[in-house]
Amino acid sequence: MTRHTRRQFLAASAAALATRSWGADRTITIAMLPKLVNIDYFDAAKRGAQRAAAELGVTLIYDGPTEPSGSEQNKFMDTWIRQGVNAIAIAPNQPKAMKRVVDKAHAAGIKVLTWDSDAPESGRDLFVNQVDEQTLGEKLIDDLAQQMGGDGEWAIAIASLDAANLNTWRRFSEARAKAKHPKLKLVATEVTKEDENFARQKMETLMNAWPNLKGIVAFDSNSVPGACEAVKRSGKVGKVAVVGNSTPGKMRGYIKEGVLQSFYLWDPRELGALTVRLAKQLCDRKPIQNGAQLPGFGKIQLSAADPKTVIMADPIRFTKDNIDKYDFGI
Amino acid sequence: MKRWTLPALLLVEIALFTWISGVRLDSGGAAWTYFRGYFADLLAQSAPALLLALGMTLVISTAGIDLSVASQTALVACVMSTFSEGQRFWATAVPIGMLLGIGLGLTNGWLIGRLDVPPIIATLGTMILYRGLCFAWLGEAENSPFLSVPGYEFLGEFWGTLALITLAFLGFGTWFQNSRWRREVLMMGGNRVAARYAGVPVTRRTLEVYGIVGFLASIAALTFTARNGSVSASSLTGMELRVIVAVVLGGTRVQGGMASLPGTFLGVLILAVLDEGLRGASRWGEEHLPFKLSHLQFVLLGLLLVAGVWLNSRREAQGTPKPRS
Amino acid sequence: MPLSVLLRASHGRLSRSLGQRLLLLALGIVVLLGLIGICLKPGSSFAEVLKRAGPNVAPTLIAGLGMTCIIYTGAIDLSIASIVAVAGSVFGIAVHRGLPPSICFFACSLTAAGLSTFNGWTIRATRLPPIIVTLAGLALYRGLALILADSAVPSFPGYFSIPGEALHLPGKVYPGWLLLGAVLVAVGWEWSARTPRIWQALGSNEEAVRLAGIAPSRVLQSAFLVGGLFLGLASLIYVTRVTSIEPSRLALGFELSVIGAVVLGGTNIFGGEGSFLGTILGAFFLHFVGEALIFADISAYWQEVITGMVILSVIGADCAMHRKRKRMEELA
Repeated sequence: MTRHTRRQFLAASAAALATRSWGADRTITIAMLPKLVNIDYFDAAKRGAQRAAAELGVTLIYDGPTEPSGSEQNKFMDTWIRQGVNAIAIAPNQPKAMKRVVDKAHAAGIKVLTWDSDAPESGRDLFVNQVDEQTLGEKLIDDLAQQMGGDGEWAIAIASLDAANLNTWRRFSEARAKAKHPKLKLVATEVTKEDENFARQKMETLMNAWPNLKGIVAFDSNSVPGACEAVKRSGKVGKVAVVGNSTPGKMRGYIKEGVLQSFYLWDPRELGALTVRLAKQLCDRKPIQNGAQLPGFGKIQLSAADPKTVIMADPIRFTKDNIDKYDFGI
Repeated sequence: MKRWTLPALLLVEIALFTWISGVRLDSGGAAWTYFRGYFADLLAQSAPALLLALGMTLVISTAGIDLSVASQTALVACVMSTFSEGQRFWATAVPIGMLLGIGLGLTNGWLIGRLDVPPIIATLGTMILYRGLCFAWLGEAENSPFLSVPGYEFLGEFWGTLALITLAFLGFGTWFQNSRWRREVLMMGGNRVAARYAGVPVTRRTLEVYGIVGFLASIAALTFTARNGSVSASSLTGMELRVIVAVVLGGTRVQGGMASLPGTFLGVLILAVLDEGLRGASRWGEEHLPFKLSHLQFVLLGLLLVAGVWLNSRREAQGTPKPRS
Repeated sequence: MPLSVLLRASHGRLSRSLGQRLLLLALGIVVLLGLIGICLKPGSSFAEVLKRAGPNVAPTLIAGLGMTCIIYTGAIDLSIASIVAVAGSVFGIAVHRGLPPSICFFACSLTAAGLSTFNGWTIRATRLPPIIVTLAGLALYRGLALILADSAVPSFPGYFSIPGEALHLPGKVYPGWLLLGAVLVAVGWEWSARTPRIWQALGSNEEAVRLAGIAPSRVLQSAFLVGGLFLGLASLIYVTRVTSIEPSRLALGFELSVIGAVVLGGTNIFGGEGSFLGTILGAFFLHFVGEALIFADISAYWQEVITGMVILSVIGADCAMHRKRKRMEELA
């Protein structure tokens, strides 16, 4: 090998090396679309997703509409499909509105996951379920029934009548009440518009209108503190039980005062992280199997009903005793 | 405001956001592919807003306002969604939806024209009422019969929306521009009493204008459902505000008496490009801004509105002799 | 003296149509209370319904008094909900910094009053229609509230947690008294002072005000200033009665209920006519409609429909009653 050719060879191999490292530099881009931005729950999920993205070395885009709207989410999907991301994870507001964009994403070779709530008919590749809907709905009503002594009138406070996952939980709760707790009587369902104060006013009036009310299930993070405040101000602590799902930060005061005994939540940061990990797994074309080990998370648990659904964990039941053990960042 | 201000603003926006979003346009082919997709999405997404804005332009030029447009559109879509899918949908749901839209618009017109309820109050009431009817009609359901209707999807695609928008803006616009009807409507906005003295059937024209808005709302419902495939009771909430902003940005005078259909068209597009740009720039925002990009969306919307209308009013002031203190 | 002529010519105490509207509303409130009374179950307390009404209606009502000042002049403020959000952010930041409660309260009210005044100033400076300026404010201030929170608090979790009882005094303990104070001031002031009537004069005829030797733009500015003071008080109650303040969703839709209360109360949306008393009745009327819906066990799916119908029928009936007179005036 002459000097000349050796130099040529070196140059060629350097070039090859450069191309390869440039190829590896083109990292996977994962886009995450929450139901809406600027609220505590999805902000916490974002922090978890960012942490996982940094660990895995993927690029993360996390953005979404400022109102919980399915058509606005579709616009984000269109934008990201055009930009050519590798995977999109969406928490759909209106699951049935996704069919067109999911087909379009698949045609462009983009993986689509759902997280937080599902769109089973859209043909998505995977659903990351933070909690089994049925388990949560049933736990809530079982907890309430136990606190009410299995007997009496109860009411529902819900953020909106057409929020998909809240209403799924509500349906499971109502069905469970009918089947397992026949002595419970559902007397009213009120809409609270995701507003703590509005919820408080409505629940105060409700407790006055139904003086024998013994329990309230509140289905979102603002209805629960609203209901608690109403119970507290009406002087009905201990007489009206409240359960629901809310964040530790908002509930700490009430649970320590004993206004409510328990509420439920999962770690939204963990949900964000798990979604990113599974999206990476899909992009790498690695299989997702029941019981398989997912780096950084642990064993994957698939839903019995749907092999394309990963269940994160059981919801955590927060009580006076364990609330200080958890910090979800919200 | 000069004639070229709005188009120039639009071009600057597109250029700026394309640069920020970091899309690589190495070759002419890549640029063509990207922009083809970009404009197709932009038009198809904006179709409902464009149609509603057309109606809103007429309403505002009569010195009225219609806060209920989004609720009307949603109610029409909700009612249509309860019809069975298949070919029959075209013969049942679509005409009934259009009739319903016209009816909702005429109800507004009746309140405003016949009962003399101020437009902002009448339509504030019907905004709540129509939205309430959406919930009463659909409840928690999300209905999606639309994409199983043969040919329906076309209304939400680029060519379908292009045809509808062309028909609405060029077809209607050409007639409107040269009609006596236009002069009468603008006259009502300029001075209602004078219009009445001049023999303009004010009540009748009011009913017509709001009826047209209702009809356009039903067409907007078609394009919305064709694009998204489903509807639920809270769909399109908050849309009325964006439509109003687009119309006044486009140069229609909010006190009435002056309308600009091309301006409205550009106004809607300017807002749509802004939205689209911010959606595409999330990664850039994450790296370069100390706060979230979505927060900027609110601020830019507000600034754009004030700046646009201010420029507009300056042109007007040059034409009118009397300065106001 | 032209001014006194002007004031006499602009509506004096209560015009006949306004008086009828007040009667209609008072009657409506009695009917609603009667309805609630019929629906009471053993164990429910009617006194409770009355006792809660004041504190609950306080923010809407007080903000409504401020909005009445502004609507008198023919202007409107669509941005008040977003202003409350900014006030909430400022309050949250002050609490987060550990400032004493009185300073936090002051900062909150001052922010709201300041932004309202700023609206007035912008309208003056740009000579744009108030609806445009405040529509822009609706978007802009919401963004401002979010940006403030995000930049002042590292890794802002999306809401401010407001701990302790002291920080909730105005909203949870004293709203009734604050309401009473605001109402007394407003009604007494309307009865005796001439400023509210100059606002009305501006709303009914700007040219006449100018010819009377008063600068219209300063009248408008003063309306936004006084409106801002009321809004500052309303914001304080609004912000201190919740345990967590979310700048992104705080007070969403507040402007609609406030403007609803004002126009229900018979204040002309184009200015020139109205009364604080009407706004007070309007706010209570809306509140009792909401209460009656729950007592009458109306399904949540139908509540909005009925609310919309009630608003439309009250205003529609009133407008229809006075339609002939107004047309005659218009053509005269």
